[in-house]
Amino acid sequence: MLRMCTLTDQSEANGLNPTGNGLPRTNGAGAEGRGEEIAESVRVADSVTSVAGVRALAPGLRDLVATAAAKVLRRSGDEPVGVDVSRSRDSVKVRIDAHLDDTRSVAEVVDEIFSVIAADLSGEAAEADGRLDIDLRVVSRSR
Amino acid sequence: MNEHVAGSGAEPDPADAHPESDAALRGVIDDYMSTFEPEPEDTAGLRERILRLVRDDLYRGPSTHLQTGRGNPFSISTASVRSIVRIAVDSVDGIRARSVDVEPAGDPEGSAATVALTVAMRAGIPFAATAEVIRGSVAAAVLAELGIPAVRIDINAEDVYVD
Repeated sequence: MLRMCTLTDQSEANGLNPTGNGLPRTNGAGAEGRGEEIAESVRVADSVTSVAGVRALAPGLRDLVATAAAKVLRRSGDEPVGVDVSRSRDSVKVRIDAHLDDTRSVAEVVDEIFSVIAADLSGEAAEADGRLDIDLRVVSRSR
Repeated sequence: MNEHVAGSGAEPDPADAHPESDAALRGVIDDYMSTFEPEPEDTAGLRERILRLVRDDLYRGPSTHLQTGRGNPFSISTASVRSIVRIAVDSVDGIRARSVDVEPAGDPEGSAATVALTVAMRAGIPFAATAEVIRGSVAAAVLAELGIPAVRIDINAEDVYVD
């Protein structure tokens, strides 16, 4: 495991990756699982942003935590993913904060987002006893 | 239920406005921190400093919890919902929306909505007939844009204006 660095000793923070969805670089099964979650997050983010009516994704919680940690630790950051996918033994949870435009109705866009996520994560959800929890927030809707 | 920002002039405390989000946020931070084995002196106040920064970034105003006709739950910024209703009200000749309040309704909650409006009317506009036009316009917009019926639309004319 990595040790947390102090604010003044940035050289000890080289092993941290407060960006890239907020996950430190570590070895072992936990890191592997997180790597899969990040890959899924990126894949789902690509699918969701391809839905007509989705203008952009707002940074997810992990991105915000990572960015805040980067500020506290005085490190630079990568591009946020915009989707948080997390898996537990009995569910797959997806959190999305989306900015929409007004080319389609909100309901249409929401339904299509649910559809593409279900298609993307159907295998993972099946592994987790079929539970797929989607926490979708429409942050804004503009012309 | 909708969350309302008090009109006191003071900025709302995001932690008070979003206790559930704050709990979720602490969970993410704990998850983030659990990947380290820091010395206590290295992390003094670190969680709170991260939490404070993220709260500021995360606070995006109150939201309204609804679900589409297909039963997909979502939350949407209350400002966006009000904007949909406001445009529908303003499209009625001689009517200008003032305050707009949209509350989740139905069973399950969020499968319908109730709307309460205050409006300003142009002098000479007959209120009773125009109120029905407003109701029709708002109901159509809420159904078309949010996919749910507006089961109750209360309208209060609070002002009259002259062009």
